[in-house]
Amino acid sequence: MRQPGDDTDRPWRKSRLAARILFRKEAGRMTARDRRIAQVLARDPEVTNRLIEQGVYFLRIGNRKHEFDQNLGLVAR
Amino acid sequence: MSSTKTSDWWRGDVDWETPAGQLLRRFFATLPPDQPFQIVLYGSGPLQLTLNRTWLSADVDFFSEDDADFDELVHQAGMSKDQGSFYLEPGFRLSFRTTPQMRERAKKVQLGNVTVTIPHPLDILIGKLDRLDVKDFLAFRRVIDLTGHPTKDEFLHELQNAVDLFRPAFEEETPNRYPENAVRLWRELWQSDLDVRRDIIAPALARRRHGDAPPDYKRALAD
Repeated sequence: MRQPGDDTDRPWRKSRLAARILFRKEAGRMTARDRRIAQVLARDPEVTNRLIEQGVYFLRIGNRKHEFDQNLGLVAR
Repeated sequence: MSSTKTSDWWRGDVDWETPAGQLLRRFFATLPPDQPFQIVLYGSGPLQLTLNRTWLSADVDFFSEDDADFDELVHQAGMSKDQGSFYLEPGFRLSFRTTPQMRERAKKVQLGNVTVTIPHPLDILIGKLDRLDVKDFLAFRRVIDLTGHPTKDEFLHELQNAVDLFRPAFEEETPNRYPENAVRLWRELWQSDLDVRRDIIAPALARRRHGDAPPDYKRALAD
């Protein structure tokens, strides 16, 4: 169980939030709040591409991962 | 066979009637029966046990999975190197330098209270590449004669997967001989040239980078 004051999961929580925002970006449903938070997370050194990718898998991207990356313009079509 | 694995040619059927098998069984019979033991064989023993019973070897190398000290147990059994011409040689797990796949393709056998891990011949041969004296070189020849494997391409693939064996040695060690021995093996066994950096290190590192690097999601967030 998570203990109060235990911040070891913080980078992972923020990265998972980043993954959720990217899901909404891909779907064209980003809100103004999403954009604001995305800018903050993009500058946050605790949020890494590796952890965001784990978040993307956690949110069950499954075999649509490559298509997801393509839709975000991160890999060639 | 539909599998594309380069290790499918070995079933790991153990002949316990071989000299190595008999020696090990006699030794296991001397161990305390109420205590579990786990050992890993390396050197030529696994080749004799699983490929050819006439494979000559002066010793049977093994190490303990739980780092138990077998020196005393082997000596008490009268099977150490100063007690006979065919003996047991307890070693340490780091003495067996081989591939990361060793455990997943090894054969595990339970003999009473002893669990014996018998590595795949590929892993045994890669361990021999560290030294590659005449006897080790002949082991390559003989495994290939007996099984048709590994082919040059199969072995190249294996060495790429074991690329960390090609890193420079620590200052306290003798120089790492894997690079020069691999070149020598290619020349003498397959009469062809091997460029370690081009043929082993570069492809392996490219695969590692490809597998490791996630897309730049932070850029997508910032855009």
